Amino acid sequence: MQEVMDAAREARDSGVYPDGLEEQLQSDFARQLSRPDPRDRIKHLDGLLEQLSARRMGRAAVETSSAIPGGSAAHRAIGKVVSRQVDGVYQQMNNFTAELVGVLGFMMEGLQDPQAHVHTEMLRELDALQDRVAELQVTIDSLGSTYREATGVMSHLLVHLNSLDGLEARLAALEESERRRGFDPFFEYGRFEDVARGAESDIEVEYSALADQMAGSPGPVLDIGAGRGEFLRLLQERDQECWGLEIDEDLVRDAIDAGIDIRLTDGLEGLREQPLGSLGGIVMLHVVEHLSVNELMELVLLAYDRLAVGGTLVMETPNPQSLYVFARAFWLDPTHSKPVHPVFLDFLVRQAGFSEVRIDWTAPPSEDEQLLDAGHIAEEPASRPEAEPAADRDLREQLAELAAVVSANAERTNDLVFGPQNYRLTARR
Amino acid sequence: MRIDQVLVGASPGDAVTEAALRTRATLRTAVESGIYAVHVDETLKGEVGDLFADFPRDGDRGDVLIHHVSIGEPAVADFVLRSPGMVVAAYHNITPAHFFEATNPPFADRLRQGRAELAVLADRAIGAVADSTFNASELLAAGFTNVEVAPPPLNLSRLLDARPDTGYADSLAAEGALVLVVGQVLPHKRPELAVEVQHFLNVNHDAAARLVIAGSCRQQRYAEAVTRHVESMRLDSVHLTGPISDARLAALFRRADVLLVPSEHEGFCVPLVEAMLHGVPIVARDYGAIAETAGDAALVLPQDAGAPELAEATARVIEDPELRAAMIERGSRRGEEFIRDATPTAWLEALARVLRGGTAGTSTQPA
Repeated sequence: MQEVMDAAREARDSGVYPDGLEEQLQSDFARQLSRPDPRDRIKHLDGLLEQLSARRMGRAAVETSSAIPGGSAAHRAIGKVVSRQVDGVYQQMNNFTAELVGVLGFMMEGLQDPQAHVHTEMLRELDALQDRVAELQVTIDSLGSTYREATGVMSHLLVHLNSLDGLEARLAALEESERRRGFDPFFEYGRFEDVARGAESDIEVEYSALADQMAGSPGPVLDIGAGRGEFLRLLQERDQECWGLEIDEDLVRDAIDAGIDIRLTDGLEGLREQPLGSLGGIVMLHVVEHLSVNELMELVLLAYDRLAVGGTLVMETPNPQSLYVFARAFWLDPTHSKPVHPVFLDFLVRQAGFSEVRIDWTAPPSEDEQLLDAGHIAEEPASRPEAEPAADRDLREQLAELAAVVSANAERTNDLVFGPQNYRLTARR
Repeated sequence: MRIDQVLVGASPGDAVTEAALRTRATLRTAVESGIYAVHVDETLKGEVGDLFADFPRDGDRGDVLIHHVSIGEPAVADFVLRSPGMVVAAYHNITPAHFFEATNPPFADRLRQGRAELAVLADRAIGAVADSTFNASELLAAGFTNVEVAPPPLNLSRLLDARPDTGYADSLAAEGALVLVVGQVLPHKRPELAVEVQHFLNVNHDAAARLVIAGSCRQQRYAEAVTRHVESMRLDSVHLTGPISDARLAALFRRADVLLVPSEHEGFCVPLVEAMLHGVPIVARDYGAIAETAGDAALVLPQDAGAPELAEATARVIEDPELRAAMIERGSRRGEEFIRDATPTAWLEALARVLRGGTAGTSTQPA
């Protein structure tokens, strides 16, 4: 026994069992337990749909046995009498089920589409549909036991069928609004990026220090939302293994032509596909402002799982504490969803388990756009007339006082209005 | 005089129900004897009576009521406390509630309730028979004084005589070593640790080794988390069987190279005995009654052994033919002991010792 423990310890010391991997696997399982996957719900619905399509109503499914002597024969005899009406009801039920299965199948497709959001309204509609199916089941049950009130059942069914029309219209409206939410420009987005973010060469200057910092990461660096691949090129130049994810097809094509490894995948999906602890760094430059808050939380948790111990997460995003950002840059990009406050982002990454969280403020507006400083007026003049008249001195002192106030106000206003345009959060796994 | 057994629930295949049925068969050769439960599976109606509808009302102080304890159920506890006869607890252990706190709070509450009932039962029962000395120590801590230890009456021929479904075992592991975990997919059994062990085993020792976790998944949320754990580790060498037939389990035992027991709580652990009798070496950790049941037949690592240590031990058992042979030999000897001792007769002898050691309505020290 001791021998086994010793061998394991030796293997640990020699790095056969990577340091921290065990804890990482345990924390992954804890997360699996506490965070049910929304896809499970879709899987469950899919199962229900399969059941529903397998089910067909027919007279054979109706119970005709009876505990009363001669009861079965009586059931069958009564059944014959009302058979025409009953057959009509079954026909309608089967039609209804077929239509229902079609609608549900259509909804399932929408939910499983990786490009679509799991739309809460769609799920609500599905819940309502399930209720209606349950109601229908009750109707069928009562039909099976009594054969009576066939006309009542018919009118019931008509209500179901009519509500189906309304549902389809509602779904069409939902689809349309979902489509409008997405951004599907008729122009090449890369060209817009040239206008909005500056030429590639400017960006390379802006991020070379970050590239230096990421070079030598304990594994490959993944650039999510890699755009034209400028940052990946900087990493390549520094011999850092790296690749990127991007959802814009044109940008990906250009990057591949330029010899940069970028894959056409959504960031969340692409990250989910990576093995645990396999990445040395994850960089998201101007990505989080494009996400919903749920997507952001999911992304941060996934990033933690997929980074190796010691790996770095970098997220840069517009600084919502600077009003200048809103006047000049933020809404310039129509695909921005909403700004992310640094305090929230800091909290989020710490909650996900990251440590050594740091925020750097980048890209201050140029000084000639900021309010001018009047502070120099308040300064003591270098030379003063020997005999300054008292009135002059008073005036000069009042002026200095006023200048000090104006200067302080300008500083405050500059801080609020002309604060740095971006902030960059760095955190360690 | 009657000797009756009371269970909370009776279902086919459940170890406690099986033990009660086997014990009753022996009892009926001498006295009147019945089994009663609150929740009775349809297939057992007729064999097991409803506690509140069918229990004989004309009982007296000379009757014996064996109360099988494994979970809380106020109605049963209340019934037992009010019954006129002598009460003896048969203690199969109550899993500590903390294992279920996160995933199934209502179940955790029932387990806590069970522990509370145990303390009350200690005052009412004249003593108890425990499956293991580990279980006995819990009874003593709960206030019992007159406690005997006897292994539960096991139906070991169930698997040994089953016609193995070898095609099933081959479909799960056509080649390479097969690591087997047997037990329900529940938090205290720690199946996710077995998955982590498998990761280390595949990466560091034996890429071809496969892991089969054989057992039903009654708590879906937990089982889904285990499945996702497997998926997120990209392990395609792991299979969870879900509920499994005797023929399939027998085939897996015959095919297995090692039984891995990642469990953190066991009151007895039947799969250990089954592995011994199938010539399968065991790797486990020293929790609950595991070391006691395994005897010298298993590699029982200390409690703090993690996935790397368990992987190291598993690999060694798979790869070292001398160690394997020695373990299989010791397992076979230990298994024979259970064939001899884990019988209704041996269990009833322990019951007789409890009855001699106490008087009705009070709890006394054994003579």
